Amino acid sequence: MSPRGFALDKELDGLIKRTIAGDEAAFGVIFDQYKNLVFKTAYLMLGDAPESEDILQEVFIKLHKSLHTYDPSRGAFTTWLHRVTINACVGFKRQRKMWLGSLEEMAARVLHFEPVARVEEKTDEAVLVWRSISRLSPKLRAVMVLRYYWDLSYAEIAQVLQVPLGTVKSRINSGVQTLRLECAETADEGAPMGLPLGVTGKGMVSRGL
Amino acid sequence: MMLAYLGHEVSPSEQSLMVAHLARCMGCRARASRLAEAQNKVRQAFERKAAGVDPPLKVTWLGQPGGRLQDHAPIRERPYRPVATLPNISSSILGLLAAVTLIIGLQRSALHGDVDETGRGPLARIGLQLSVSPGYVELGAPSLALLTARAWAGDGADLESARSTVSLQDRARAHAPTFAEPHASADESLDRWHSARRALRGDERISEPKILCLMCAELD
Repeated sequence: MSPRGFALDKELDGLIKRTIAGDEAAFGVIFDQYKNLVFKTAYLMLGDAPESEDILQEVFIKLHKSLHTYDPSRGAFTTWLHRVTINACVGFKRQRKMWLGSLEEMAARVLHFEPVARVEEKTDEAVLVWRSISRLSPKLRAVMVLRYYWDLSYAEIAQVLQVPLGTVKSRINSGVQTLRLECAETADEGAPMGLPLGVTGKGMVSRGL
Repeated sequence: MMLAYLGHEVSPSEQSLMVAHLARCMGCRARASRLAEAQNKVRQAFERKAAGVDPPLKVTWLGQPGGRLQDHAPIRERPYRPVATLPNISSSILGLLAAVTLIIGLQRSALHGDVDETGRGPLARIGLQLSVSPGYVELGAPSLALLTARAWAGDGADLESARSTVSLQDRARAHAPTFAEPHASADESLDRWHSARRALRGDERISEPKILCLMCAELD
C-alpha cells in the first residue's frame, strides 16, 4: 500500500487486468479502496451526502464500463478517478440546475434572511469558510478541493482537469482571493475571525482511504 | 506567485528570490501571512466538512451483470441515465402543461390580488420574475393598483395588456407625484390616490375601471 492507502501500481495493474477479464471480485477490491476518494470529492463538490452517494454509484458504474480504456502512461489511476468524479459532479450540477449549496442556503439567498440555526453558526469560523467555499463556481471549487483537501500539486491538478498549469495557478489564486474577500466581509459584519497561523504548504495527510 | 511560493510550487531560483525579497519587504511579509492564514482556513474547513461523512459502510460492489452497484441498505436506487420511453415523454408533456397552467394562474392571481399594508403588491410579495419586464415587480403600490385596475377593466386581463399599463404610472404620478411618500398623512394619501383615480378614469382606453383603494383595501 502507498502512504495514501491506495494500491501500488503493480497491485492495481493486476486488479484492473482481472476486472477486465471478468473478475468482479477484483473490481470489488478497487471499489473498496477508492470509494472514499470518490465519495469525499463528490461531497466537497456538492455539499450533500445523498447526492454524493449517487455520484459514487455513477462514477463506479462508468469506471466498470470503461476500465479497459485506462492507460497508465497517461497518468495515475487516482488522477483519472478524480477527473471522472469532478466531471460527474459538474455534470450533475448542470443537469439539476441547482446551486452547489444546500437548500437552506438557497432559500436564504432568495428570501434575504438567515435561518436561526445559521445565525448561531456564524460564530464558527470553519462553517463560515465552508459557506464561502460553497458559493464558488464549480471550476474554482474543483481546484480548491484538489489542492487543499487532497494536497495535489499544481501539475497533478492540471492533469486532472486537463487545463494548462497557468490556469490552475490563476484559479487557485482567484479562489483564495475570493474566499479572503468574503471572509473579510463577514468579519466586518461582526463575526469573530481571529485566525491562527499554522503550517502551510504541502502537508501530506492520510485521508483514511 | 506568492501562493505558489507558499505551496512550494516554485522553482529553486524563484524560491531564493522570494526569500530574499520577503526578508526586506514588510508589506509582502504581511501579505504572505494573510494568504497563509487564508489557505489554512480553507484546509481546516475542508477537513472539518469531510470528517463528518463517510461512504455508507455496507456498500459493496456485488458484481451484478448489469454493472449496478448494490447496497444492503443506504444507497437510494436512482436511474442514473434516464431513457426516453413513451410513458416518460407523455408524463413530461403533462408536467409541462401543468407548469404552464400554474404559471398563468399565478400571473392572473397576482394581477387580481390585494396590495398589503406595506404597499407591496402580490407580485412583489411572492417575488416572481415571471416573464414580465425587470422593472415590473419593482413597481410600488400605485403601479400595482393601476395594473389591477387595468386587469379588472376587462381588456387588461392578460399579461401583455397589463404590461402596457405600466406606462400609466407616469400619468398617475403627474396627478399625484408624492402618492407613495411614506410620511404623507392618511388623508393626504387618500386624496392623492383619488386624484390619480380620476385621472385614470379620464383615460379613454379604459372603460369602467374598477380601482382598488389602497387606504381601505376595498374595491371602488
